[in-house]
Amino acid sequence: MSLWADKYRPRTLKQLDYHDEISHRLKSLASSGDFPHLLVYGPSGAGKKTRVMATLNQLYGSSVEKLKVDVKTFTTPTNRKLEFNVISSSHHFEITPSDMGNNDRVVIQDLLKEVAQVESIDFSSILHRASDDANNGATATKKHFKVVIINEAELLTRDAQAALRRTMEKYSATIRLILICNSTSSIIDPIKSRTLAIRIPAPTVTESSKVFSKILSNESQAARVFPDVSSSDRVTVFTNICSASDRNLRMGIMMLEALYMNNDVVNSSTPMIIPDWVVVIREMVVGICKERNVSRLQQVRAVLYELLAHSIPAKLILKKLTLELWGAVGNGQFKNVDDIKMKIVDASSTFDERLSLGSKDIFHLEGFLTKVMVIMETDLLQK
Amino acid sequence: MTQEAGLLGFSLSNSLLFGKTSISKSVDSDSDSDDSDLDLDLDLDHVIEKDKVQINYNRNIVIAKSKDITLSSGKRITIKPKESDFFKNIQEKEEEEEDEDISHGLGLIDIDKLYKKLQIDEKIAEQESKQPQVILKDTFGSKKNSKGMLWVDKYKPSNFLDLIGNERTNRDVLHWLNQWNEIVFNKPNPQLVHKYNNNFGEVITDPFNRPFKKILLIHGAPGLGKTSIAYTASLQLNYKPFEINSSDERTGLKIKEKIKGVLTSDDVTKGKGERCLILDEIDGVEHGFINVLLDLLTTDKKMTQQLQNGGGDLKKSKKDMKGILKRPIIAICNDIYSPVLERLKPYCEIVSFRKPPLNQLKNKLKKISSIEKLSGINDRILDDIINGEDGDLRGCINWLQFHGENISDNNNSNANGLKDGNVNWFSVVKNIFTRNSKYTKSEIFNNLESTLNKVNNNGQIDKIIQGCFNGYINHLNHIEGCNKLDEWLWFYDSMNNKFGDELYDSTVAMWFYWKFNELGDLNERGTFIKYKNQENYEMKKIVNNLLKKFDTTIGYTNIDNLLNYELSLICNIIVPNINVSHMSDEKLKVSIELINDYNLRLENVNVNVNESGGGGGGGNGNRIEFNPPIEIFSKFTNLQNGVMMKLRNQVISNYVMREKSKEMNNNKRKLVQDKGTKEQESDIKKKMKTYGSSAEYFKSKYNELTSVINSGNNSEEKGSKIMNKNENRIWVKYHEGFSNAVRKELTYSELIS
Repeated sequence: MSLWADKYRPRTLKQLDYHDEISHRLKSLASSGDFPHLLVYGPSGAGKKTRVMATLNQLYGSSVEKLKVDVKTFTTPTNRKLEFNVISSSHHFEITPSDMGNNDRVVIQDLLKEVAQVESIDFSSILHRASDDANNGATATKKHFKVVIINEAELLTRDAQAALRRTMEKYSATIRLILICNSTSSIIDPIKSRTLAIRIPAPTVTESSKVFSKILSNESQAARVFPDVSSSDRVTVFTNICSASDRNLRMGIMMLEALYMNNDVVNSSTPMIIPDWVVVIREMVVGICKERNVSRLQQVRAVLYELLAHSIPAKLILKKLTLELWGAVGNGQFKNVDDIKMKIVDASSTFDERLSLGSKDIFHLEGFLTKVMVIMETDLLQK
Repeated sequence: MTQEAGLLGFSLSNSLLFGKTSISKSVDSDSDSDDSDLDLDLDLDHVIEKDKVQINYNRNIVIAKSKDITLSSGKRITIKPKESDFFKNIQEKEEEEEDEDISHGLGLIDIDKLYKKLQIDEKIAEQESKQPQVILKDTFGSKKNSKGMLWVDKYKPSNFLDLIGNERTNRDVLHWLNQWNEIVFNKPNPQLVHKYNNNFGEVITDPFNRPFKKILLIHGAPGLGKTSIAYTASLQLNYKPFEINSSDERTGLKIKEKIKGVLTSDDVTKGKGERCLILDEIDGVEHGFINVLLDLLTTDKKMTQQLQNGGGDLKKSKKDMKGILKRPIIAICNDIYSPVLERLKPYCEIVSFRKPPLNQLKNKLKKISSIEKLSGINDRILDDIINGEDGDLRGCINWLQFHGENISDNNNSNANGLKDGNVNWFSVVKNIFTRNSKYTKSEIFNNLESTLNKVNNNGQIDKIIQGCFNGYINHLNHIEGCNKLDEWLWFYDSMNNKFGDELYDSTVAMWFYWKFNELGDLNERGTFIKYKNQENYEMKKIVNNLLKKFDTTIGYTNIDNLLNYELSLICNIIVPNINVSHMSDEKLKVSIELINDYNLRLENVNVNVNESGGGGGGGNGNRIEFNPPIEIFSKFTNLQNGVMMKLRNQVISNYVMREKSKEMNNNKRKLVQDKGTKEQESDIKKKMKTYGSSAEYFKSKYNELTSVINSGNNSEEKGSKIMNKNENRIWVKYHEGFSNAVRKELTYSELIS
């Protein structure tokens, strides 16, 4: 992969740039040869997955990087065929429950048992031991278990989580689970208690800037486009990127690359490159703040239809809308800004619930915006 | 189908397209080639024969001017042009239509010739108007046949001019099929020399002037006439279509023999036309089927290349022709993003079908209803039907057949929703928003309730509510009102989701009625339904397909992130927002690398600007697009950069092409060197038997090659990076037994260890 975000991804724990303390702890965990089940959580783009892979690297050596993708088919009890991807190396499996929908319980039970019941016989380790058994006896004992990584663990259904808890204990000899999720709120308590929770916070602005600088120092061509190392402009540019990307490092690095590709010279006033759908939403919000009537609503509806056609999740749209409205209300002509903000958040939560319960996204998104319009209008009518 | 059999078709557009001087007239005697109507065939031929005799008798004109005519039965007859004064009293009604054709296609046509063509066309049109009656008498002595028939079959297009829909797409199909003439019918057409630019800017010619892409893939929503056009076009060009659809057994093994049989063997009944393969509903096949097709295509490619390399000698000895595709294949599907088709697509000429223009549809339906004597059909009802069926012609015709009578009974368009048991959701929505002055509001209210309850059972309530949602916005001038409505819609949604027994569903519709029903014409109060579900649906499918593709780039991201920011940023990185001609080489390299990484293909897309616009003008042209269409993420109607993006694509693709052709050249250079070692290689081949194992053979071969390359390299300047990359890879073709299965890339390290 030649995206910078992939190209400069740290492979080992040593290469990690920030959160040194966590890295250090992971390192000692891995070098002890054994570790408990892990629950790694934190905002997206903070480096959860990278850290997990680096830990595995520490544990098993570079062979974990040889990944292959298998498409497994699975027949559910209701006789429906289910296809999902399993990414695996010789030492670990990686599954994403959102592939499986409602059947994740069955799949997880089956898959984990299948993995757990076969004790991994690792030829490479035997060979390894044969070659120099004297100094490296420890490696062989390390490898009697396989690691199963579950991505987006918060999307596991209750059932699936319940199915996990006993499996985690029963097969602990042959299997280690690493759950990766953004927030632990929907993980059930029994699982939390069986795992070692590791929080990985988003990198701070300085930490991200350090990473950006490191990348630029390797890309000499790109470095010329950006301001000098010592200049304050550079700091502002990096800060801008961080705020535009919500301190999501992956997004930040991609923005950095996009900035390089799109500009000949980047300085503090260069506009950030934000996803187009966000631009669309921003324009919509500005429009709403300007005037509120039925014809505006018609325009809004057309835009919403288009956004939904782009498969952008309705909840994401709602969230972005709320945040943008929150920001835009302040610069408007409104009297009671705080009151409006509060009401907007209230409406947003109501319609978020409706989105979860209902199935007609367009009704509720439009409903939210009409509600917002009404809120704004009533504010203007107040004396 | 027997009724239309008598229609004489005349394809002027066909001959214009290809600039042929001869005009082919086709008589589609029996489009299904069922053998039940054999006597009809005879009758028809008889008629034509008589015709010919008549013409010959009447006119003694120079033979050079005579026209060849091929019947779909394969018979060839000659028609001699008539003197112009013969046509003087004929109204030149169709001239407009023809004019369009001409200005569209070729600008350089002798106007005299054209006029004569026109005259002949008119003559035939005249015949056409007479003919059906004769045939009707002949074949429908017993009327049973036509009565039991579905109208969909009855009014199936019988010739090319009968087709409706975008004429350009229709002609694209015909054009593609026409390119097979040389190899199938052995009649070379010197004007049709095709040159194709492949992705590397290289010109590829086909020894038989076949199209570059050997499969025609037609896709589009159901009921637009995809199958019809495949049949009509192939019959027009004298083929005998052989259809394989989802009702046939389509596993890889079984299908292989079948396909081979169709494609390779000549028909015993010569002169009846050659076969062409139509693979209907191809989106539902299994991978085995696709594998068979791919196999066919790759052998064809190989054999063609061999034939070409073997010096332009095209003497078609049977041995040489083995494995070469000799018959056209037309594939048809609804869902082009179906994962099974993914591998086939690069070999396919893709034609996409859109909804035909409204007035064409309407005219067709009018024609049918006038033939069937449906008195109650007027423009507004037709509009409703077309809207209700979402432009699906088949659906419309079916609707006409089964509800048409009821309408003529009623003779009242607005009441039709009230009395008719099988209600069209569209008319219900219409009833909700407009009131018939004959009834009082509460009367209709009661009626509506019963209608809605009936409707409930067949799942149309959802469409009705959606229609209400789409419609109400034109009827309100308060946002407070909208806000209230949203609560009702929420009520509907939650009820529908939770209980699903549609207990309260109709309530919401009733409420809409109470709120909005007014007297007056709905159409005057603004456009009614303008959010095209089908298009949104299509877009969604494209996006999902795209996501699947990117999701496989293992691991560190997920679908949410892809949608959230990654795709748009990647898009920005690949196609930067600056003047690409000023782009530095380094940046270009980054973008090209990414394009390769994500396996994006750059494709020449035929763009039809006047997709749904009525008939005439509108520019067409080629544009280069990414496939999968990654730039879709920057396409929003109210953002200007969508257009910019296209332009930028164009420019960057040129660069990419250049880069790729460079790479190709490097490869070629290597090939030349390879040829130099040919002699040595042949030596090795002799020695091969003496080697104990194949591995040793490979090793020796590799050594030979590297030494040659190294020596060659020393004399040359140092090659580019790509060159270096290629150096330590060799491709080894390995034959043992008859299997050609072992053909894999060997790397240096693998050989040494």
